[in-house]
Amino acid sequence: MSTTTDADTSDDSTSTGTETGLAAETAAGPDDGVLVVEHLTKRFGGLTAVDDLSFAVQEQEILGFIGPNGAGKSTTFNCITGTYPPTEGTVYYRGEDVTGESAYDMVKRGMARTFQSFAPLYDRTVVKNVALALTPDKLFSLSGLRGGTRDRAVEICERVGLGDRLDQTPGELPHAGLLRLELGRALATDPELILVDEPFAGLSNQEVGEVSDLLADLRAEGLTLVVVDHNMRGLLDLIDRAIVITFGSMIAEGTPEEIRTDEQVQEAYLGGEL
Amino acid sequence: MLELVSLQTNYANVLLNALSISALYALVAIGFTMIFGVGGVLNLAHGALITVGGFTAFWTTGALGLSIWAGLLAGALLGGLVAAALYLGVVQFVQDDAVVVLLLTLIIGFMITNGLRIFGQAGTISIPQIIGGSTSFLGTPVENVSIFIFVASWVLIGALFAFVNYTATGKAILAVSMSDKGASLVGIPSTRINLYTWIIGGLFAGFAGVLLTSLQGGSWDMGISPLVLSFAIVVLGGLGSIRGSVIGAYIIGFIDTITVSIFDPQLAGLTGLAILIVVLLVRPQGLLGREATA
Amino acid sequence: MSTATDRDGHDDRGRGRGGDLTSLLDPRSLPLRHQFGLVGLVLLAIFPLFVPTTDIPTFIGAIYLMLFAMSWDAVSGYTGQISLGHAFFFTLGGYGSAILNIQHGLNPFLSIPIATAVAALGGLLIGVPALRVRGPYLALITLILIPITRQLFVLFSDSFLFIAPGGLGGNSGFTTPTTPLVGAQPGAVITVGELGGLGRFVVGNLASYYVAFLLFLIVLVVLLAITRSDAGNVFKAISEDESAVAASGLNPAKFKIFAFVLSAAVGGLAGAMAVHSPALNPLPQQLLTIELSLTVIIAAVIGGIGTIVGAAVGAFAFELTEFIFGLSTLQFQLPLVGQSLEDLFPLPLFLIGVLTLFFLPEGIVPGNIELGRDALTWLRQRRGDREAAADGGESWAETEFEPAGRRNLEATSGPGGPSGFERTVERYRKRALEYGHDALDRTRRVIREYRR
Repeated sequence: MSTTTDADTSDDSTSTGTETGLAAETAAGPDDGVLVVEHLTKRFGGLTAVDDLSFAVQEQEILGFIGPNGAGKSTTFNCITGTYPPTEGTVYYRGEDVTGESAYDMVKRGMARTFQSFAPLYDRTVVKNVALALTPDKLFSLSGLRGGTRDRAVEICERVGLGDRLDQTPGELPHAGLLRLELGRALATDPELILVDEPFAGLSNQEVGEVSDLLADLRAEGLTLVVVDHNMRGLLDLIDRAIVITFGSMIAEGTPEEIRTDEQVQEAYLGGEL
Repeated sequence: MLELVSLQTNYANVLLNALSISALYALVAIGFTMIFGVGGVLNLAHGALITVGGFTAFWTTGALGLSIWAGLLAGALLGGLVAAALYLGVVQFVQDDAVVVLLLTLIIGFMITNGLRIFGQAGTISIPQIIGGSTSFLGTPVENVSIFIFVASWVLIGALFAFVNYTATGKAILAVSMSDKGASLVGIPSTRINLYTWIIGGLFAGFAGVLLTSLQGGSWDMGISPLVLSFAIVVLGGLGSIRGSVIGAYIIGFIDTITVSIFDPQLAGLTGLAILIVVLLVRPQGLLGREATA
Repeated sequence: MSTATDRDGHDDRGRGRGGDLTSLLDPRSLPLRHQFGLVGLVLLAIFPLFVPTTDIPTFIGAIYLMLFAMSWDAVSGYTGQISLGHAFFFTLGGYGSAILNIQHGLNPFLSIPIATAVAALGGLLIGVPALRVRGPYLALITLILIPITRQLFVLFSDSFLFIAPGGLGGNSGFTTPTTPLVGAQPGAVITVGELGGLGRFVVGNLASYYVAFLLFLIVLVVLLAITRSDAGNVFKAISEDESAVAASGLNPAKFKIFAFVLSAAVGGLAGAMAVHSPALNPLPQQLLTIELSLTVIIAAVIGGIGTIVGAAVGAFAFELTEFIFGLSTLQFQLPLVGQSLEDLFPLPLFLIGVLTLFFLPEGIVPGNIELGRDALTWLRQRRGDREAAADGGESWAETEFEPAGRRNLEATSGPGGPSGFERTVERYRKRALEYGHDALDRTRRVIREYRR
């Protein structure tokens, strides 16, 4: 079952009141948010990974994208960010139809993403990894030869907490470091919206807190974030709003409190109370 | 390349030639495609294995004076042996790195063939015919050699099909071709399985090498044309698919034979290559292969 | 580690100095490896003066081989798109210029640029579709280009449309020679006479050498500029992980095609100039062979893939060795083998190539080690810099990271683990890799200390 953000949202299963923040939204059109996804569907042969998913991301919010493993979260990300096009549906970014555009075009538009199974470049240092994302997409460019690029890369590394690991290679980084590198690379592309794919997986409690603070800071600086995870622990304290999906469809939408108390979510996900 | 056994415009012979030569090339292609399908390695030394077969038969029948049948056996066996040595000694350590293994097999293949040139015979070699004479088939005479090649090749292909589909080891090969991690999780030792595919590939290539030499003579660089044609076959049929290789071999074999006998003999091999280019541009995974796009 | 500024001019916060141009070009302030390079260039320049005059054409050929190798490295060494049939582009340039020159009567000053453009166009036509498929398929496509072209030469040996009214020469090449760019012959574009006691033909050969050398310098500068610029970083990133490149906002296909076309153009240019020199005649056996592609690849591998300079070094070493093996003083029969060194060619070089690929895939030129995937990390770990993860567990590197060969062996050997033979070979291979890394690391440390 999927719901769109239209004013008549009064499915008993989702809204516990009239103030769901988005109940006031009109039917999701291209301008309803920074990123608007309409009727997104992705089929791989006989398998439907994402089923008629629609949602909108508001400017400077932190939207949580929650679901158990295999729910279709990463697939949705991939469709949105251009890894592959959706089978059906439309993706709007700042009002423009960007469905199926290639990954690098999406990045140039201002939509960056991190990879769940980290994709650093192992053949170069941390700072050079970030520097690559600062490189303009031009065949003839000398910006790297001048000191400016490196300085900016160092700044970004310090921003994400890798200031003391500038010259290490990704192979030497601990798990949390690789995540920070992903964020650093995403930040280097000067994005407006970052889709963060499962940042908390494999982190200790302390690290979860650190990364969470970092993401909140980024939002305070003007970024919009969509954070995917199936680990509720770190996520619910960070996000403003959440979408819960399972088996490719949305089953709930609302604030963290609403999600916590939503029965469907509890059943589908936790088998009981949160 | 695909030289006719005899240049008679005897249609029965042309047909049988196409059938038998295609089967022979199918053998080469099958070995190549199995090594890729199971181990992920493009064995660019495959042509060298063909040459090894031919030269072994040459020495067996020449210097050792044995019969052509001994030569056939020796050629096939030595092909398998060299392939096994190549896998055990070199490839198994580097097969994770696609670039390195590609270059290594290419270079080693060249070393083998150049070694045969330098230490063996720089000129052409020839071996006695397997079976001489001709039989009467539906009223027209057909060369016995062609019949033998056709029958022998299909016996081998059939044996392989049975082996892969009905024996435990054969099914293990299929398993590894699907996922070597998954296969090792159920206890299948992928090193040994890979070794088997290399041995089979080498056996078939050596066998084909002997027969090719007996048909049209051999030389140190005899492996290049069959290898290139095998590329065409394997890509058409789909890298990794045994069935695809057989189908591809017949398609290309027939088109090539027809082109050569009806049009211009100089076009030999070119049609195969043209098909290869078209397939690579239009549908790189071929008829039955896996996804190929970057 | 250094205190104020490290070797590349960065302070201890890692920020650059943004040095000005003059300090960049002052030879005395260059890093040691650049100083070596400059010395090498000077040696290369004066080399032919010390060689028997009849052997000069061999070394003209060496320079062109270096150019071929550098062109291959520019694409395959950097983007990881392995081209196995690069001789195709050399041939496009060489044959193109030869046909334009012989059959259309064009002056080499015209035929060479046009042929280069043809080679670049060929690179575009082949590259755009070929780069859309995975690595093995690309390698296959480039490999079969050579036999296909050979077939075409035979097929159109008498005439090929309006492009080559005299035909493509079949398997034996052209009967008329090409116009030399510079030489003693009256037909040459630039004729030379006697000079300083040396006869006309010697001077002609020397002049040809320096023409080739000049081309080499120009190509070297251009390729170094491109590969040391941002594009070079992107190339290498593409060979590491294309999706990471796309996620960084860069279009991988654009860069791959650029590298491919650049490589084809440089190769074509080298081929075009080579056929107008004493080094080469436009013959299929010389130019359109897989052996030539292989030689170029091995030269680059031995010298060090992905450095440009390594390819040049490897190619020169290749030719030098062939030359030495051919010297009359070395024409003895080797004991076990019954052949002379010269007869054995190219086996010894192929063998060295195989050994290099197997034991030291990064090659010999040290610069490559810095970017080698395993090396840096491995070196640091050997020095004991281990990091504790926040929760006290092993660092990711320790658990996840193992060199490819070892992981493969243990994961996939038969039940009961790797056999004795496998363990032995793997042990020797690891030892060789460690030795190689150690030796190079020690060398670099010595060099660094020497500079202080």
